[in-house]
Formats: sequence, structure tokens, C-alpha cells
Amino acid sequence: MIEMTSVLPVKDETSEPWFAALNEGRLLIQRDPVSGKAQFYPRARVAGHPDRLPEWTEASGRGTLYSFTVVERTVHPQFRAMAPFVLALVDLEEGVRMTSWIVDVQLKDLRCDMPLKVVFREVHPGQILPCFTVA
Amino acid sequence: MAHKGHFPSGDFCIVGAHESPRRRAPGIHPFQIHAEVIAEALADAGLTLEDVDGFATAASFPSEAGWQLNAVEVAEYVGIRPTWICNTDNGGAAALAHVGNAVAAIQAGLCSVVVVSYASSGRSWPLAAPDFNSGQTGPGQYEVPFGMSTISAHALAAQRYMHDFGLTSEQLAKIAVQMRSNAANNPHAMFREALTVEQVLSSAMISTPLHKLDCCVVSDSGGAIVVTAKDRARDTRRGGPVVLGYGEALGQIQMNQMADMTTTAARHSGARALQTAGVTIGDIRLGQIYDSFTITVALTLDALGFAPRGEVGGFIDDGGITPGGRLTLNTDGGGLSSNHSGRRGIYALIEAVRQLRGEGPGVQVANPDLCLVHGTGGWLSATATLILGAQQ
Repeated sequence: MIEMTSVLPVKDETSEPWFAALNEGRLLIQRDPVSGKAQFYPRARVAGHPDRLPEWTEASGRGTLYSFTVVERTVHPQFRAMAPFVLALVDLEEGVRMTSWIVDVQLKDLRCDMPLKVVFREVHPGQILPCFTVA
Repeated sequence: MAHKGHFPSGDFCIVGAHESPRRRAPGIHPFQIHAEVIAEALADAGLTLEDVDGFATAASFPSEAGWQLNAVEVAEYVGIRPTWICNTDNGGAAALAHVGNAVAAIQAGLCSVVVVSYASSGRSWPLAAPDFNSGQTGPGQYEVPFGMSTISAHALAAQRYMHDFGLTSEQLAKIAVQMRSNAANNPHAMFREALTVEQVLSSAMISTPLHKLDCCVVSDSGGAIVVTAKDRARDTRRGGPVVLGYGEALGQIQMNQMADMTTTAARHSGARALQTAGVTIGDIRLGQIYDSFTITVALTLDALGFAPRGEVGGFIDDGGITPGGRLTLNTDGGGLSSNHSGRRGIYALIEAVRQLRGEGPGVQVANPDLCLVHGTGGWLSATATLILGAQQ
């Protein structure tokens, strides 16, 4: 049973391959097989075209920083001990935006639109997540 | 997309309104507050529960004590036996959406007198709730494990608006300072002592660039209004302001789906509300705009078109939200100083009714003829905008 206050992902048939790839150091996104348009977050169907099945593709891991916030205080017990951390929205060069953390960067050096590359970190015990650092 | 149908502008009225004076109510179940505010709103209208055949509410947080069938739960507790219920939940926009839905339902003959109520023990409810808008399932499993909280979601928007348009923390702080000033005369406001820009900027940094005093108060409270058709309103104690225009719109809920964090769905809901009311933004001098955070106000002023695109910082510096200026805003002190127990839209709506009746407890505008009310729900996710007019 998963606690209501847990922040660990509740994986499902769609997300299992995405999380499994992270353990192998690969970041997956999806593509619309008709238009080629990239999609994130992963879905069972193409957003806007529920008659289409998306295809998995490996992202280059390169992107830019759309926005960020240094979380200095949080009420959530699972994050309190981690603060400060840099929560971010990262634009991948394939044209999708994802939620992530910026790691190994001096806070004073953070700028919107700065170039980034993916790194894989065990953010929660046993749970590798895609994070980003300076490219 | 424009409305194809004809909105019955001016045909419906808000004939009763009441905001609970409660702000700190430990040990009080929210359904008690529902019952209190419904009784007062009906008394204000000169109606009784027997007149009520429509009921709308939204509650899905533990602090609201509502679960999946929350309109049914609250109706049962209060003893309403409606022929129409509405459980639309677009967060802070919900009470406004309930008015739009009530107009449609009454117009369709499904009911005739609708109560919209809301109550929450946002401050004192004993059951813990994670500060995440969606759970870590489905779409949320790609965002929640990174610690995306309510304030961080808004902080991300603030950071990007600052980057794109040069908005400053001082300009955001001025919004909080103005709301506090507006609250000074409101006897029920949670905070009334004068506030300075320096105090906002020196308050604890929560999630850069937002400080503690960029955030709304957290209260226990509730409110209710009564909506009916204009012909029926003649039978009520006082009549009431008329619903002139309405619009609603959706953005996103996962922050990674927000294409442009410097604007919100208010662009669309606002345009629809103005269009249905047959007025322009230039006609609006009084507004009650959702203020969960200072940045929520800044983004909304930009999105609604009060400030030219990207220029909301200068708009604030130039006294754009000073009473008597371009837009007199959140006259009771808003969520930043008076009341924010959860889905605050109901309080913005009630303050609009008070203003149009000349009964504002904070700053009262002299004889306003129009008031824009705007709700923002979720994390800059869903919006609803109402244009109310003085009683005709």
C-alpha cells in the first residue's frame, strides 16, 4: 500500500518503460507517429489524437532552462531535508518541456535559457530521476 | 472560440451574499461553516431553505472535509433537497463557474434559486494533506517526485515573467502592500497592520523569488451567495447585482504542460466575460482578482489586458492598483490580507456584491456600476471571469 503522503511515483503500464530506461541512463520521450511531434509527459495515446499510439524515442538529453525556483522552505517531510533544491522546467531540444532538478550548479549561476544536459540521480532512495546540469 | 449562443446578460441576479467572519476556527468542521453562511446568505436575500432548489459547491481537499460526492454531502448536512446540483471543481475559479452554471441551469428550467457555498478549514484542519495539486499517479508521477508544490509552481511563473519582462520583487511586493492597506478598515481581515515593501522583501524566502509575504493568508472560513432570475429577484428582500457577463477557460495542471508561464487562461475567460457583457476592459475600474500569490495578480492583470503585454511592473509602479487609480483592486484586502481558506473565488464574488451594494468593509468605491471578478484555480490552471453590474 502506498501512503497518501508519499511522493514516489505510482507506476503504470505507460510509465514503466520510462522509469525502466532511467535505470539504464536513458531519457525517453514519445512521438506522434503521424506528425513526428514530440510528447511529454508520456501518455497511452497522443494528446489531441486519442486514436493514435505514440512511439518511444530516446531524447538527446540536451536542453535549456525555461524556469527555476530555489526551494528553500517546504512543509513536505520528504523534501524538507533536501532543501534547498533547484526545481526546474527544462525545454528539451526535441521540443518538449519536463519537470526536473538542476544539480551541481552554483545558485548564482542559474539563468533562464541556460544550456543544460541530463544526468541521472537517485533523488529518492531506489528511485533514479532525470536531473540536469550545465551543458 | 467565441460563444455561439446568446448569454442572458442582465437576466440573473445575486440576491444574497455572506462571508463568514471566521478566520481561525480550530475544531470546527467545515460543514458547520457551510450551514452558517448558507443561513446568512438566505437571510440576506429574505429567502428560506425551502426556496432553494439548486446547490453548487466544490470541495476535494481534506481541509474542506469533502470527498468524492461533496455537493451531495454538504446538501445532506444542510438539509437542501435540490433538483439540480453542481460539483464543478476548477479550484479557486469554482464559485464563479458555479454562477455561470447556475445561470445556465435556471435558464434551462432545471431549478430556480441556486445557493453557491464554500467552506474550508485551510488553517486548522487536523488531517495532514500534501502540498501537491495532483497526486504522484498518472501525469503527476513525472512532476510530484521532484517536489512541485503550490508555491513553487507560482515561483516558476514569477521567475520566467521576471526574465522575460523585467518584473521585480519590489513590484510584486507592492501588490501585497496595497492589499494590506485595503484590509486596514476591514474588521474581519486576517491581517490589518500596515505593511511595507521592505517587510515583504525581508520576510522568509520560501521558493525563489517568492517570499512568505508574497503568499496569501491561510484561514478557516466560508461564504455563500444566492443566484436567481431577475423576475424572481423582485420577490427577494433586496434584489441584487446583475450578472452581465461570464467566461471560463482552461490552461494546464501539470506545470510542464504550461506553454507560456507569463500568461494564463484569464486571457480567454476575460475576453469571453467582457464580450458576453458587451463591455471592454477600458470600462472596468473595479476588480476582485484572485490573489493566492502576488504573482497571480501580476499575471492576471497582464492576461486580462489591464496592463499592456509584459508591462505589469510599470502598471503597478504607476499606481495602477491604487484605489481611485486605473483599477481599484481587492477592496477587502483580498486573499493576501483578508481571507483565503482554499478556493477563494467565493470571497472575491461576495466582495464584488458588497461593492456594488455600497457595503465594502475595506475600501468602498463610490457608486460603482461594474465589477470584474476573476477566479484562478489550481496552479494557474483554470480561470473564470464574471462581470457584475449594479442592481438595475
